[in-house]
Amino acid sequence: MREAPYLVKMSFHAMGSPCHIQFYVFKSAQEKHAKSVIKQCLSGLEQRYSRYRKDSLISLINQRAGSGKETAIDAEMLGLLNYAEQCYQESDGLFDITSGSLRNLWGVDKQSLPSEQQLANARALIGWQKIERTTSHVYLPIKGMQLDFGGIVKEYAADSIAQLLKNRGIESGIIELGGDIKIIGSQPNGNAWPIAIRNPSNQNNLQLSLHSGSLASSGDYERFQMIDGVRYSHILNPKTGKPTQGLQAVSIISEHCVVSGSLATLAMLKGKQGLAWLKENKLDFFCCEEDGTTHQHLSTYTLI
Amino acid sequence: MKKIILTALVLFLTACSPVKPWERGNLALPQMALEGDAQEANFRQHTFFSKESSSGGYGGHGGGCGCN
Amino acid sequence: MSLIERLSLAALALPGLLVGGEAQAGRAEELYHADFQYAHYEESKGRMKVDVFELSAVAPIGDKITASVDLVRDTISGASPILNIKNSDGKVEQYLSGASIFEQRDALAVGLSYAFDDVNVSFGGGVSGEHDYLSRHLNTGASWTFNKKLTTLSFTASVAFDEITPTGQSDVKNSKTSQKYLMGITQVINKNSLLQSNMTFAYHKGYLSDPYKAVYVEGVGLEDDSRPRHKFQWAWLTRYVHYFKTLNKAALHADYRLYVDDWGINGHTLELSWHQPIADDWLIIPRFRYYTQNEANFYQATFDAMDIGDIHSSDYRLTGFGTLGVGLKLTKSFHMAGYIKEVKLQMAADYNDRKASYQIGGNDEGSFDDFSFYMITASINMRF
Repeated sequence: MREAPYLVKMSFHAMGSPCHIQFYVFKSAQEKHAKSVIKQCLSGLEQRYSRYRKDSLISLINQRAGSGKETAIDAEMLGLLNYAEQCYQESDGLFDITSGSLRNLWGVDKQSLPSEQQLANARALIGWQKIERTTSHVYLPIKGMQLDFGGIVKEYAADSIAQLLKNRGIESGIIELGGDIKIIGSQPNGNAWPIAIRNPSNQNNLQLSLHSGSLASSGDYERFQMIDGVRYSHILNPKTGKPTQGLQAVSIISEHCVVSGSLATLAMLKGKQGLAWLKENKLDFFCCEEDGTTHQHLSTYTLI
Repeated sequence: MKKIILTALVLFLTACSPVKPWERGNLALPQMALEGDAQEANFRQHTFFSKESSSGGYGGHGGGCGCN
Repeated sequence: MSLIERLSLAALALPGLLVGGEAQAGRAEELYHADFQYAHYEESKGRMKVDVFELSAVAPIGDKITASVDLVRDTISGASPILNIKNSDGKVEQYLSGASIFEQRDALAVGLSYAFDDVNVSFGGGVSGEHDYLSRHLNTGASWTFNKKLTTLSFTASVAFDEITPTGQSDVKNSKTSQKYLMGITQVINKNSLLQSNMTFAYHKGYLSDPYKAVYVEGVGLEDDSRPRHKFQWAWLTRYVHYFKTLNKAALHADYRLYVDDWGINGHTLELSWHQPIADDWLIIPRFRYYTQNEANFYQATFDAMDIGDIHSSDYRLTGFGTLGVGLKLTKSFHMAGYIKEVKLQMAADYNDRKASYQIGGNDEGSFDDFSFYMITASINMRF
C-alpha cells in the first residue's frame, strides 16, 4: 500500500539570491538525504564558480590571466565552456562570457557614462575567440581578461539539483533559484505547479502553471541605472561595450533551465530585434517591450 | 539471405524515430536494463547450455567446463 | 535542428544534467561493485544437484579504466545419465550412474576495460578447474557508440583451451580448443523501446565426446560415446525491451534466439519476462521460457549392429526435445546517502519441464529421458 507523500519546503539564500525549493518525499530519510544533496551541490558550485571567492576555480583562472600559467579543468568546467561556446556561436558573438570586465565601467555607483576611450580599453580585454583552451586546460592570454559564468551557473544549478533529486526517486517538485525555475515533476495529484512572473509594466503578475520543464527570465526592471534620465540595463553588449536597449524583460520556457536562461539573455542582447528573434526561433516566451507592451507565445505542450 | 537481413536492418534503423537526449530517462530505468543482474543471467545461461545443445548470443567470457 | 535543440544538446553534455546516474564522461561506472550470489539447481528423479557460490567485484581505476574479478565455486552431486538401454519389453530406458558423484568446480576470471570517448575496449581471461577438467580462456572485446548515442556496435572474440582427464581412465588425456566470435548491435528505437541483436560464431576442435557416456548396441554391447572432432555453431539472438509508463512503469522483455550447428541440431529459444515495479524500489518479474531442438544427425537412443558407425551418441542433450519453464524473481533496492550508495537484494525461483513431446513438430521417441529441474537464486549487490 503506497503511503501518501508529504511536501518538503526549503527557503534559503544561495548564489547571491533567495531560493525556494519544494518537493514531495515518502519518508524522512529521503528528505534528509535530499536536503544534504542539495546543500552539497550548491556549495560545490559556489566553491568552483563564484567570482567573489578568491579560492574558486573561476577566480584562479582569472587571476592567472596574462601570467603564462594555464589552469587544469574538469569535465564540468569543460562542459560549461563548451556550452558557452555554443551560445557564443548561436548569438553571433553577443553572448560572451569574457564580457565580465565591462562591469567595471557600468555599475550602480557610476554617475556618468564611460568615455569612448574607456570603452575601447575594455573591449580589448573581451573576446571569446581569444581564450586558449583544450579539453583539459584553459588560459586567458591578456592580463585583465575575466571569465564570468554568472549567466549560466544559477540555471545549471537548478537543472543539476532537479536531476540529483530525480536520481533519488523524487518525482514531484519545483526548484527556484533567484527566479530561475526548474520543475522535477508534477504535483502528486497530477496538478501543475503555479508560477508567477512579474510584469514590469503594471502591478499584475502573469500567472501560468507548468507540469515540467523550466522557466528563466532576464530583464532590467530590477537592476538598472538611471544616468541623465536614461535607463541602462545591466546586460552589456560585448561588441559595443554598452548596455542593451530593446526589451525590458523576457522569460523563456523550455526543458532545461540552463537553456531557458541563455535564451532569455540572448533575447535581451538582441536589443531592438529581440522580439522578432524570439518569434523567428519559435520559442515559448513572455516579454515586455520598453514601452510596456507585453507579448507572449506558448505552444500547447507547455500548458499540458 | 545476408542481403535480406542487411536490407531489413537498414530499413528498420531508418524507421526509428529520433529520440531527443532529454527523452532517454525511461531507457535508463532499472526495469529496462538488458542485463539487470549479470550473475543470475550467467547462471541461467550456464544451466541451459549444460542441459541443452544451444548456446551463444549473450556474450560471456567463453570459458569451458565439464558440465554434463 | 532548431536553435533550442542545438542548445539543449550542448546542455545535456553538462555532467549535472546526466540522466540516471551521476557519472562523469569517459566511463559509465564510477562506483565500486561487490556482488554475491548463491544458486541451487536440482533435477527430478533424484538426479543432479548443484550448489553455486559466486563473488564478483568491479573497481574503477583512475578515469577510464575498470577492473573486474569473478570467483565461482560449484558443488555437484547426484546421478547423471550414462546411456539408454532396451528393457525386456523392447522399450528404451535411461540408465543413470550411481548417486555417488561428487564434483567441485572452481573458476576465476579477471577483466580490464578501457573507455575512450565513444569506444570501449576490454581484455580478460580466466581458468576453471575440476578434478578431471581444466579450462583456460582469453577474451577481448570492443564496442562503439555513435548516432547521438542511440546505436552501439560490439565485437568480442574469445578462445578456450580445455583438457579432460577422465576419472578411472588415468592414462587418457584429451584436449579441446574453442573459438567464439560475437558481433552485435544495440539500438534505441524510440524513448520507450530498445532492441539488441547479436550473432555468434563458434568453432570447436579436439575431443568433443563425453568420456562418461556410452551407447548401447543391440546384440553387441556397449561402445564409448564418439562424436565428431570438430563442431561449428551459429546463433542469432534478438532482444527487445518496451516501456509501459501507464502500467506503473513496467517493462516487457522478449528474447528470441535461433541456433544452428553442423551436427544437425537447430534450436529455438523464446524468453518473455515482465518487469513490474511495485511499491518502493521493489520489482517483481514473472517469466516464461520455451525451448525446442531437434536431434543431432549421429544421435540414436540405442543402436544395433547395422546402424552403428564411427560417430555415435545417445546423450540426452543431443536428442530432440522441448523445455517449458516458468519463474518469478523479486528484487528490492535500497538507495543510501553514505559510503554505500546502493544495496540490492534479489531472489528468484524457476521451474523447467523438459519433455521429448514438447519439441516443435512432435517427437515419438518416448519419455524415457524426460525430466524436470528447478533453480533458486539469492543475491546481494552493493554499489559504493
